[in-house]
Order: sequence, then structure tokens, then C-alpha cells
Amino acid sequence: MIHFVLLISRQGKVRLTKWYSPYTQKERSKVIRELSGVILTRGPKLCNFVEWRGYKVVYKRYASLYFCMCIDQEDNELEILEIIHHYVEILDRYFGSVCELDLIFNFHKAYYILDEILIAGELQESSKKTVARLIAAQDSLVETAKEQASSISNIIAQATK
Amino acid sequence: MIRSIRACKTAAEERAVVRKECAAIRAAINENDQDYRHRNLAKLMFIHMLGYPTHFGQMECLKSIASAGFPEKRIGYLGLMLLLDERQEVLIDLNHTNQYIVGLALCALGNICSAEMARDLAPEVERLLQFRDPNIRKKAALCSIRIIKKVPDLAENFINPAAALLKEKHHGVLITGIQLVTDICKVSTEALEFFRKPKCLDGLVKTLRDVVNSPYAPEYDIAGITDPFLHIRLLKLLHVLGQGDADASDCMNDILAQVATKTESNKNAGNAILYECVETIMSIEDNGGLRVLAINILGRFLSNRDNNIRYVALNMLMKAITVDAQAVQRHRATILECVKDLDASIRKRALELVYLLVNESNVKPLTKELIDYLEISDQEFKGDLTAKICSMVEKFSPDKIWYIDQMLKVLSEAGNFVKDEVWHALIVVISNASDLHGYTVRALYRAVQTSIEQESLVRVAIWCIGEYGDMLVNNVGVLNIEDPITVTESDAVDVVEIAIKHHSSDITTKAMAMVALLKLSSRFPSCSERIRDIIVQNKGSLVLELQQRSIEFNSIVEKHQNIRSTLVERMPVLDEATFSGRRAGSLPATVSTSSGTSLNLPNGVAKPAAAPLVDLLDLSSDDAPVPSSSGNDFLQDLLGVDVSPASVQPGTSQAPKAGTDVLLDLLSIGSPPVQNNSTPSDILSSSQDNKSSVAILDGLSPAPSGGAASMIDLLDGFVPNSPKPEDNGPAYPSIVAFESSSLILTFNFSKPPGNPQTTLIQATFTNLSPNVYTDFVFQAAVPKFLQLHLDPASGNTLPASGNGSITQTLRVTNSQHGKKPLVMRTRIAYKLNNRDVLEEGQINNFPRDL
Repeated sequence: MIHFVLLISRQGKVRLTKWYSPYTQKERSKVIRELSGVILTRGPKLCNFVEWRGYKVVYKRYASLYFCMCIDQEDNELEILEIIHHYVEILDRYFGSVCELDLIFNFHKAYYILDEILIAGELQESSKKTVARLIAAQDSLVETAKEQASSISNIIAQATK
Repeated sequence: MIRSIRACKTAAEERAVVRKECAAIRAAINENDQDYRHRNLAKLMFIHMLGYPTHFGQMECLKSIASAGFPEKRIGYLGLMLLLDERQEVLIDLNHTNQYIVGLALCALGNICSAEMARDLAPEVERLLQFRDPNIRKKAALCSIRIIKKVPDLAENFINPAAALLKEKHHGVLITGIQLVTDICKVSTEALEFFRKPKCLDGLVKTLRDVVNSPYAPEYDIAGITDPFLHIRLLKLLHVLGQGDADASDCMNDILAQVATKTESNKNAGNAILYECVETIMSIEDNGGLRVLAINILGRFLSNRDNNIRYVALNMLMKAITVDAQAVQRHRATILECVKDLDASIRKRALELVYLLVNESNVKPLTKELIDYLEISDQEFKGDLTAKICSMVEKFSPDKIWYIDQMLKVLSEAGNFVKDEVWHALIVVISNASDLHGYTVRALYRAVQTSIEQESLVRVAIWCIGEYGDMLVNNVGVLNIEDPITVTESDAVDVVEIAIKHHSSDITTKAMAMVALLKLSSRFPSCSERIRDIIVQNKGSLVLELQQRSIEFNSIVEKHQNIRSTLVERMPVLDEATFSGRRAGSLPATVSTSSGTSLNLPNGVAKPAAAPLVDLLDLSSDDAPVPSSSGNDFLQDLLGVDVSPASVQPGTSQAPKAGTDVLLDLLSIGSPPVQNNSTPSDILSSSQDNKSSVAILDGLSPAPSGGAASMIDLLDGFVPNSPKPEDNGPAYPSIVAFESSSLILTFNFSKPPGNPQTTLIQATFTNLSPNVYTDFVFQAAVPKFLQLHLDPASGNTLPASGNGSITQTLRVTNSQHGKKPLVMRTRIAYKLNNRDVLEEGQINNFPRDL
């Protein structure tokens, strides 16, 4: 199972964290610091797997972001690389040529998408189309709810004037 | 807000902005502002990601979840998952009509639920496993995984719904269903049996076959393969089902072969599938053809240029070795190349793999390769590499001369990384290979000329030069393969002198060098003066160990030339078998080993006496039974390295007595047990230095030094060690058990009638200092074969300057009466001017027949 997902920028700033195993706040910050140190210092040609504290951490660099996932010893590292790529492609489709800024300003959407791909540290959906469809449906729900809210408040505001 | 935070140039500015925002959010929360709640929550989450504390927002999350609107719920759940962790209990609405809300709830549950929550909500989740919407079904499946992990007992309930999921068409549900089944099977054997039934298994195999053979499906296609994730999950499940079960494995053989051969491996997706396939083949029951196939795939991986692929191949090969070592041997050359790779992870894996591959036939070429690489490897890797080479060489060396050669090379290259036990073992081997003594010492001499900084090499070299110096100089035992070399006596002494003076030599090395010089002074009488000069230079050394050795050896060289040669005779051959047996069984905690840095002072007293005494035993050729020490420290003792007292000769296996002093054995040979400690140092010359150093010796643990003194007393008078029977009568002389500059403890013995095993000891404590001692407490410890009972003391204030004393009665019962003498460790604690003082010592000079 995947224990956590980390997105770190080249400067070491955390863009996204998702924890599927229990870690306390202090442990989380410690883990982030440690892994940032290990991964950011690795050269470009080295392999994408790092052994860390008895787990394996698979990371991949896309432009200025490092996508890291921590897995158990018996998991398939190459598959995790595929999962990372799967996630990135879906983000790309959703935001249209995604860049780091998109993820910064719309971090909540990045989380929603991640939630459609992974739950409890396991893969949920392998089809990009399905994920995109679900996210789109949920977004439209948000839109309609917002419209309703604004229209009701308009009515009430007018009524109480 | 995000923009404004990002615009901050300094950390302080950022903190200010965040603080302002937090204040605004807190105000909004207080006003219970409905409209902007989700905006505020989003801001809170961003701030949390930046690392600021956001506890005040947690209630907001809960309220948000409880509210009716979808956006609020959505962001509320997100906040829940992000800001809270497993330990929060939350009411979750799994029964909502809106399926997206149910989905959200399941998601949150899947990510953060605790054991109690799991138990409560399991039936709900089970129901949802059969929901009409596939989206909910797959989320419910993953949620169930989490539940099962938290509460394994519930696994049985999920077996049937999970089995239903396996027949799905929708890939998402199928993947999650397979994952669920895999996890259930890991947890419950009953489930494992259920899913192994041919009906289930065939269904799975069929599904895999369909996926493998399916035509191009744009929705699931990755790099030309339809849904590699599904492939991999199915393979994993087959792995779990096939492991340990021959029938199940049979069913899978065809499909595994098909996957292994047909999958393209030029893209990562294909390689991932192949990797999983190989992993499955390795774990299921034996099928020769498939295994060969798998190892071939791994061989292909190994020569792939992609680092990732090579890494996983090495990983896999380590598991494959247990299965089929022959096949892996074929790839030895490639693996050896990987040891030299640029990538640190690959190097580590390759080295471990090489280590597993070593056997008698290939040890020579492999070692040669590794040693060559040792010269160019970088520092962090050297430690690992050295350790592996050393253990390889030790386990598989075909003959002694090759072993010595390789070890010398390793020591010259990376001596500083070599562990102590390794070079100890080397010395044992050297001492046993008597025909190779000359060769070894000459080789070491040559090596030391070039690599003086390698500490372990220097140590081994000076030990050998000390022992076999005459062979070195006289070219004894030259083998055909050697180049001729002439070494004069003074050259040999040069080497040892350089070792002492070299700036990087630590205390162990210097101490060993002093012993070596003593040996050389006897073997090379012409250099005796020069050696004496070198020894004397350390008389004033700040390190007690060196100072002591210097003074004692100086006195031996000066005054005791008649016995000097016998003192430093050739060391008895160290028995290899016992050494390796003891080394294997040595307990790390029992005997204290100070590896050269910290000097264990009380032990330092006993130790120098031990070295000449070792040879004394040789001289007297007594067959005294020697209790063995625990661990291999007897060897260190023989080498003259500091360590707690240990036995002298490898003897018959006797129960190790923790802390048994070597002197005890000597005393048990029958030398007079009456230790008169009041004039301990009459033999040593009366120069001021000696007195002070001996006084220090006394202060630490007088009993052994007393013993040493009396031993050296023997040296002077050359009194034979014939047993003196005078102590076998019922009247036992009293002994001074412990003496320091400020305290004397005397024991008076008596035996109660009728019980020869019990002894009554009257202990008397006398205070020699001008200060009063308060809170005086005496504690004693004895080995297991003794029983000790302490009566209360007469008082706990000890008047000064011997004006009074405290008495205490001890009763000791010796279950090995007659076979083993008494021995006791003492601890005396008192307060001096309100300062706590602790004095510890060991009493070994009990009369023999107590």
C-alpha cells in the first residue's frame, strides 16, 4: 500500500501531502524534512527508487515538482511510477497543460482528483476518462449549488429591502 | 489570499500575512458566517500546508460536514482528511441519497477511519458494496480494505461480496475488487481456501487472458497495453493464491507463460507487468520451465540501460537465488559490473547479491575483482565493501596463504574500516600457520612501508614483527614466490618506532608497539639500548596505560635481563577452533572491550601483569585448569591490548566466570595466597616515578596489583610455583580485601562447625583519611556458585584517621567448595564533605580453600 504522497518543489516547498497511514503532526513534518533532503539531492541519472526507513520511496520529477510516493517493500515500484504518471496525466487533462502554479492556486482540486485515483493507499480507477467524468460531475454540482445560493439570497435580499 | 502570500518576499512578511488571515478567519468563525465557510476552510487548508497551526479550524470542518450543501460537504471532508488524522471520531453520513456525498464519506472513511469507527460502520460499507453505482462500489471496496486492515476479524463478512466483485466488467470496480480479495486472503486463511477453489481461480485466469488478448481500448490504454494496472493487480492476486499451493499454481502456468512472453518491454508499463510476472513465478510452486523464463527476463533487465530496471532486477535476483542459484551464477559478470555503477542504490544491491553468490569455486576471482574495486570506491561505500570482502575471505578461503595475502591487501587499502574481530582472526590464523610465519612477517614489513596510515595494518604488523622479528631479519622460511629482502635489526625497530611516534596512532597501537619493543629487545640484544631509549620516552606519557607499560618494561630491560628472554618467548599457538567457537558465542555485554580509546583503569592494572604472566605459565608448564573467559577477549589479552581480565590459554570448556581474573588462576596453582599489600612494590625500583605510578595502581584495585607485585616478587627470587599447603588448615589468615589511599577493608575468616561450605567473614572498614565518612554503605556481588548474606553493619559513620572502624559480618556459601575459590566484587559508597564517593573493586585474594 502507498503510505503517503508528497509533492515537493525543487526549492523544497511542499505543494501537496496526503497521508494514508497514521502519522502525528510532528512525525509528518519530520518525514517531509528528511525526504526532501534525500530526494532533492539526488542526481538526475540515478534510479527513481530510494530505500528509506525500511520502506521504498518512488519519486519522479516533472518540471519543477517532485512527486513522491512511499510504498512497502513488497510493492511493485515500476507500477507506482505508472500511477504517478497516471495522476499527472489526469491533472494535465483537467487543467489543460498543468504547471506548478495551477497546483498552487487550485490545490483543493488537486486533492479531489487524487481522491478519485487513490483511496486508503490503493489504486481506485485506472481509466482517465472515468476520473475526468466524475470530477466534472462533482464540479457541476458545486456550480449549481452556488447558483442556487446566490439566487435565493438575491430573492431574500430583495424581499427584505 | 494565495497570491498575497506568494508575493511575500521574506518569511517574516509571510508570517504577518498569515496571521492577519487567521485573525480574519477566526472572526468569521465566531460570527458563524455560513456563506464563506467553505472559502475560509480552503484558506485554512492552504495555511496548514504551509506549516502553520490551524487547530481552531477543526470545529469548522465538522460543522461544514454537517451542513447540507454539497460544496460545504466537499470542502468539509477535504479539511477533515487534511487537518485531522485518525484519532478524531466523526459522524459520517453514509446513507445520504446523493451518491457523490456517499462517495465523499467513503473516501474519508477509507483514509482516516479508526478501529472503532471501522467496527461500527462495517455493515454499512458492506451494503454499499452492492450499490448500483460503480463509483460507489469501488470506493466501498477500498474502504473495506481499510476496515479489514484495522479489524481483521471482520474479513469473513466481506468474502462473499468480494467474490461478486470479481465478476465485474467495469475496470475500476474490478481493480478495487481484486485488491480487496488480495487483502482478505492475506488476512484470513479461510478466505484463501475459498478463493483457491478452481471455480474462482479459473475465473481469474480467464479475466487475465481477456485483458492480455484484448484489442486496443483507448480508455484504458497506456503505452500500447490495455490497462496495465489491471494486469498487475491480477498477477498479484495470483501470486497470493498460488503461493504454497501446487494445484493453484498449475492452473496459472499457461497464462503466466503467455504474459511473460508476449508483453512488450520497451516501455515502463510493460516492464512493470513483466516484473510482477517474474515475482509471481518466483513465489508459486516449482515449475522448471517457467523459472528459466523468469530468470532470462531478469537477465535482460540487468543489461537494460535504464537504472530503474536494473535496480528492480537486482532486487528480484536476490530472491531468485534461494530458488535457483545456478541460473543466477550465469549472470555473475553483469552483477559484478553493477557493483561499480555510478548509482549508489544499485551498487549496494549488487554488492549484497555478489556476497550471496560467493562459493568455494568462484571466491578467488570475485575477491580479486572486489579488492581492485576497493581501491577506487568512494568513502561511504568502502565500509560496506570491506566488511563484505572480509567475511567472504574468511568463510571461503581455500588455503591459508591466500587468506593472508587477501587480508593484507584489504588492510593496506582500507585498514581503517576493518573491524577489530577481523584482524584478531587474522592474527589467530597467522599464529597457526607456522610455516608461513616468515613469509607473513616479511609481507607485512613491506606493506607497512607503504601504508602506514592504515591503523589495523600497523597493529597486525607490529604484533608480527614483535613475535617473529628474528625470522624477518634472518630470512627464515623464505618461500619460492617471495622476492628477497634484507631487513636489519634496526630496520625492524625502525618500523615499530615509527608506529609509536606516528601522529595518527592511537593508544592501542602504541601499547601494542611497546610490547613488541620489549619482545624485540630480547630477540635483538644489539638494539636493546636503543629500544630502551624509545620505551623510556613514554615514561611521562599522559596516558596511564603507556606510562605504566613504559616503566615496567624499562625495569624489565634494565634489571631483569636474566628472565627477559623467557618472559617474551614465542607466544603459544592460539587455538583456532576454540577461538572461532568462542567468537561465535561471545556475548557482547559481558566483558567490557575498550577498543583503544577509553582506558578501563582498574583493568589496566591487571593487564600488563597478564602479558608476562602468560609466558610464565609457559615456563612453568603447569597444567592448571584455566577458566575460560567469555568472548574472544583472551586473544586481546594475549596481544597485550587492554581489556578486562581474561583467561590465558584456551582450555577445556568451562563455564565462563564473568570477571574471573587471570591471577585467580595463577593463585589457584598454589602460589601463596597471602597477599601482603602493605609493601607492594619492593621489587620495582625505588625511583619516585615508580612509587607514584604504583600508588595509583594501588588506589584502583589493590588486589590484582598486590598479586602482580607478589608475582614479580617471584620473578626476582625465582621461587618456583609449588603449591603451598599452609592454607589448607582450618585457620584462615585474614586478608586485606580492598585498599585505597583513604580506606582499608580487611576480612577475617572463620568457618562454622559442621558446614565446610559456609564461611563467616568479619569485614572491618578503616578510614585512613583525615575526613569523616558518612552514610557508609558496603555492597558486594558474587558469582552464581556462591551465596552471599550480608548482616547489617555496626554503623554507617566512619571516623577519620583510623580512630574507629565499622564492622559487618558476611556469610558466604560456596557450592563449588574445594573446586573454585571465592571471588567477590565490592562497591563502597560514602559521603565525604557531603559529596558522594563510590569505590569499586574486586577481591580475588581469598584463601584458596574457603
